[in-house]
Amino acid sequence: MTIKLKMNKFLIQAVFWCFLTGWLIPANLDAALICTVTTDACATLGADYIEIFEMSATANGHAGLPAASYANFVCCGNVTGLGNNCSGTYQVAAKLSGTTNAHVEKNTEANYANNACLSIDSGTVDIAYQATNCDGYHTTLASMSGATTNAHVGNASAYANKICATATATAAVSVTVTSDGSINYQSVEWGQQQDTITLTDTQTVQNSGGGTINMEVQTSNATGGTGWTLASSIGNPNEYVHEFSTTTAPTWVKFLTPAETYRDATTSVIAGNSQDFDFRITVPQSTTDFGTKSITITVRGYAS
Amino acid sequence: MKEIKSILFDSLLVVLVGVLTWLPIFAQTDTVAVSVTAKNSAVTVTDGSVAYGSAQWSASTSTNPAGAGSGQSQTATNDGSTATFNVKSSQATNGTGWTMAAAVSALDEFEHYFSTSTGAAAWVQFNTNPATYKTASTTVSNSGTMRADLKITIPASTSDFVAKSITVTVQAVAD
Repeated sequence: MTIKLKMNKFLIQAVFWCFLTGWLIPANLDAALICTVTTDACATLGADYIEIFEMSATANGHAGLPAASYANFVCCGNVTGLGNNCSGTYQVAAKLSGTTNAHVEKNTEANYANNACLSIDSGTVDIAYQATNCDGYHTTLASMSGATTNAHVGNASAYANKICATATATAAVSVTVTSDGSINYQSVEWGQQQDTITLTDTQTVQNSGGGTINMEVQTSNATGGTGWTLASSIGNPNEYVHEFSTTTAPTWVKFLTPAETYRDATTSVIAGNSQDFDFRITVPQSTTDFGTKSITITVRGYAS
Repeated sequence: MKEIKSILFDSLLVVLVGVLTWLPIFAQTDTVAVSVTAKNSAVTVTDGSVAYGSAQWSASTSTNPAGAGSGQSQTATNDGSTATFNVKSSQATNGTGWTMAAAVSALDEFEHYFSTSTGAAAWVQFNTNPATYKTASTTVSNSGTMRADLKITIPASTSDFVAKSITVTVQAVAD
């Protein structure tokens, strides 16, 4: 019975996790991590290559943290946002007995205090230690003379004990209102409408992130003096209607009430592409005052 | 039962951690700043009635204190947003009507004027076309007022001596 419950527990958590990832995780960038040992500076391999640690020789070597002045650099790259930080999203590739002239051990050992790390700004990093090969991982970062601790280091082919790595960047979501982020509906008669098509003030929102996204929009209530409350229709004093359209021939869609409730606007906007938005306001049937009101429209992008 | 609670708690924890970990990466916003001003045209006139009384042919009388119709100045109040006030006058009706004219001379033609000055009157003649407004005051704010005095010049000759009725209209046009 206990085993069954534990299995159920695992399954439920797995389902939740799949639900989360299936719904929320944006498309990962496809590039696979590449690591190599080179005598040239890592940057010569590409601007995104960074040094993880150094070794005195490509076999039977001692290790040092970056800037240890060894001639052989363990360089990793080909994935956006890589780093050698031991904070944020990272994994310890190897633990060193010192900052230079060091032996190494697996990251699960506790004998050495100097960490050589592989990090990423946005995404995932995995480090593993396998015998013979790094099947199941992107690349072989280096190899160790021993399986656990007090080991010398070498390049990928030097020893059977491989340090394996995978790094996957996640495309960060970003939206930018590029034109021009400001609408002035001007003065509008009670109960009348004004729109950005008439005003020639269509707003453009760009997918400035790295993956395909959907866009959704919300509007605030109108503030200043006696505020106006967003409503689905006018009639009551100080209640206004706000709409948006994403089509050239406008198809007006009302913002959801209450204010600041997101409504889907468009889907599958690929990276770098833009979406035009037009907006229309219907001013209250009557207002308490005639002061200028301020409204904030928020466009939110999320991974498709 | 304890195990089930544990499962639910742990699962919710997984969800929470997942959301907190990933959400900042998955959604990002930008905003559009919007401004709008409501406008409405509304005006009331108090007290809304002027009696010029009787006057000789070709004589003038007015609501201005210096005139015979003193004490009948009218007040137009802007009940809407900032506006321009326009005015027009009808012809005089009842019996044989009088027609507005630039100057009295012909039978049954009269002159009609307004003034919005708060001091000495500065008479401006109504447009002689009774359908046409003439601007009286601009940029009258909400709750702002405009004083309106009226002056009439009786025709040089009339077909009858029946009391005439004239309607003066004040129009507010929101800016």
